[in-house]
Amino acid sequence: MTNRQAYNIWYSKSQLYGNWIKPIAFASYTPTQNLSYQIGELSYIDKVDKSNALILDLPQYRGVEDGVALSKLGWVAIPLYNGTQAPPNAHGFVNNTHIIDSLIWGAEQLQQIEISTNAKPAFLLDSLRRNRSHLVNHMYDNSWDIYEHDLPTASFLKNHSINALTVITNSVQKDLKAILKKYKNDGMNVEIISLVKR
Amino acid sequence: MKLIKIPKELYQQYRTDVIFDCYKWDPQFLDSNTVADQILVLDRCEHVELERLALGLYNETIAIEQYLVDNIGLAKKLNLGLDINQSLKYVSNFDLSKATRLMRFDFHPIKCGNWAISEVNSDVPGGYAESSFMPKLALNIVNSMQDYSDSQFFCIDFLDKLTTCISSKIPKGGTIMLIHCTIFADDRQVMQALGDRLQALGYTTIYGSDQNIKIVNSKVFCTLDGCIGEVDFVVRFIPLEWLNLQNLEQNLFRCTTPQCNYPISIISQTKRLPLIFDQLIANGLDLTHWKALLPHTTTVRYLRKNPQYIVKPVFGRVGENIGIKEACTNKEYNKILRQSKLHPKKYIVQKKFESLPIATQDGRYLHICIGVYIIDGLFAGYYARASEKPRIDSRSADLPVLIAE
Repeated sequence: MTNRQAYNIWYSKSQLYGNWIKPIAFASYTPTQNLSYQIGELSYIDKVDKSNALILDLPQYRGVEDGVALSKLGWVAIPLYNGTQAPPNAHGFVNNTHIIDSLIWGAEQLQQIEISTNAKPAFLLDSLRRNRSHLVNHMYDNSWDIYEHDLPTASFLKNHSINALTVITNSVQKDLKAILKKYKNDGMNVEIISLVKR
Repeated sequence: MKLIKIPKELYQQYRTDVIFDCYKWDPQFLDSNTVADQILVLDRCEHVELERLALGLYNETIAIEQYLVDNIGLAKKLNLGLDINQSLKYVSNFDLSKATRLMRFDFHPIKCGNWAISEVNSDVPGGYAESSFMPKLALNIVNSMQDYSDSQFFCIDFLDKLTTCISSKIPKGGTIMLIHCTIFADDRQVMQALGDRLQALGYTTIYGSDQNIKIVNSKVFCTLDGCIGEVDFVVRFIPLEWLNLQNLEQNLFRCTTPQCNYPISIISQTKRLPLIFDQLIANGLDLTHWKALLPHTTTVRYLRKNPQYIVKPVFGRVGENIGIKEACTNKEYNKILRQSKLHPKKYIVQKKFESLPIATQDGRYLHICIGVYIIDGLFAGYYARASEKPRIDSRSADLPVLIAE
């Protein structure tokens, strides 16, 4: 499967939320064909309200594995991975190389899944995205942040009957904290489910 | 000027092509799709006029920069900050003939008259891919539409012009470092579009940030593992005022490595530049185009609350934090006014022009901004954006520009 085919599958399964998919991994990464992923076990699922939108802030490709599992349970997974690729031979702060592989694997899985038209979004993030240091000048800084403008507004979500967000994470990072604060200010309920490190 | 709607049945494929073939990796901002379903068509007269006006502005801007380099005392009135003011003294060591100078003048069609400009993006203008690849996609679309089978259109490839200029400055096989904020995918997309073109021309390209350079004997060296060594040319896509100029090992003012753009660009990037226009004219500079096209600009002190004026940050980017009452929410507008009161030197006020919205074929009206690129004194293409509000910002959608024969 090509990157473009994979993107088209994620998009076609995304219902209202496809335009928010971050395309950089699909458009600029070369797959390594390391496709050994498994559908997430969702240890937290009993604590999640099914009418909520989700933000999965999990290490590397774990969000894709859980996103596929959630797609079977009435959510629609929206990848927001937005890190750039280090030049050949240079080392990046963040290992983004698995992301495109996992997205291609995810696309293959999604092909078999029927997504409900009123599925709620589950936005996928890499919790290792902010691994960075300003003191190192021989490495490429491909860390990244998530911003308010990367997600739908509270008013868009409310217009689609979503009044609450659940964040699945080990710890809420500074960039995401700012976004959650804005959602709260705009009248959304925000719940955090903390995970023990896997 | 007119807008052609991309047929609904072609649009989704077009948007995907824009992402994959045109390096558009930021196709959404909040709830706004930033890939327009419209194509902007200029007629030949509009094209000729925009080119003429932008060239006039470019020549005046170059003259201003040169004058201020020779008269640094006057440049200090621009409040560029201590670090930049201290660095300006190194400017005269640089051979400008080795640099590539790129500017983008943002034109708006207006109700009273033809055109106004809102600014020059003089330091790090973006939109490389949108102004190079998207017009070609758009050309294929209009050529396939029955309604335009009798029409002839052409487009301009900005990156073709930029790479031609750069390759006239350094021999093939040279190493070009593309310095940008590597943590931003939307900066990398600009650099990747250029880098891939340069690589195809036989250059070695390195992607890195200002943290990945070191200036040794006035030359830029790359410090990235796997890419260590002297660099022949630098393309900078980090706004100069974001750089840590106190770190002399990374102060790009202090090197002689050819660059696009050389830091002199900060002089015309600041929106405070018009505040010294009268002094420049009194000293013999001809600013006819600037005076005719840029609305009256002054300090915030007197006019902040005058509804005829809008408030702009001095180093604003992509239209953010511009206070236009009818284009902002009350909360946003009041916040900008408060900030301008707290930091009056970081804002200017500018007389509001009445943007002339252009009708779409499906009955909407869009405000248009047409960025006109000039490279080394030559016209180099268009970057257009559209918005339903009279403020062009990150929510605005990118439009390919075609020219009708």
